Amino acid sequence: MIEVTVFYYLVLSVIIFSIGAYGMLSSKNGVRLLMSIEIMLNAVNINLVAFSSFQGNLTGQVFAAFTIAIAAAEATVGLAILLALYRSFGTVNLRKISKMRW
Amino acid sequence: MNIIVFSIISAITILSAIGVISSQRIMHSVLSLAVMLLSVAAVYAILNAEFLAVIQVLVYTGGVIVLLLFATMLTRSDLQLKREQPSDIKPAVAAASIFAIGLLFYIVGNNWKSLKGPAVVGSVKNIGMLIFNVKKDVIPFEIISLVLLAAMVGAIFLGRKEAGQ
Repeated sequence: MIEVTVFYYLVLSVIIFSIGAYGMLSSKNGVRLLMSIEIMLNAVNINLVAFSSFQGNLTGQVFAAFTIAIAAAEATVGLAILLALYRSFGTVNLRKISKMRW
Repeated sequence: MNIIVFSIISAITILSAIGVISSQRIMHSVLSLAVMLLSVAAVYAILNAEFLAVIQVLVYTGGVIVLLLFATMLTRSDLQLKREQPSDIKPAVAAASIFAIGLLFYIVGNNWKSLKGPAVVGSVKNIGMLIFNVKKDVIPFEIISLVLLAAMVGAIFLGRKEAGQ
């Protein structure tokens, strides 16, 4: 039986982070962009918790709890901004919202 | 921890993350995001971080998913049935894969053998001792509560009718 080392968790985290980065760079829908950012934050949290658990040091888990709180705040403000954008532009298509784009 | 359990959980996580960015309807991707967040909670559980697993289920699948569902239903999207253009996704694929390959080279090149198995480092009690310790993390904890309050006030301000005009 192969033992699961911290290496496996790091690879899992890299895969999830890259999926999130691809989604963030390629999505046209604002809601999907916010979801990709949540995926990337979760990948970072997996890293923090894996190192915390493998080193026997709880500070990483406290960091991860703080990251979860910040992610909740970010999701709240981001969705409020999306609702305001939808109200003024009538769409959440990020390619069409180009009023302040250079 | 058993490698079979880890493989099953990570497969569910990766597949549902792919489902988030590739499904055609935005509601389906919100539901796959819920599956992905629950399986990340399972990853925390097999890492002996049960407090974070509970927090993950409470905050993400209880709060963030509901917010995302509300946002999806309030912003009726006109691009739910269209595929993304190939010219759009090419640089994104390039950037994400270059990033992933670089990080994987770094991870494979290092030796992680010195870190032994998930240690049982205690749970809610020890985390509470860290968070509410004046010499450790109590000041970031209080600042987090201020950040949450500011985010709540900002969301209420942006969500009002007058703010959009």
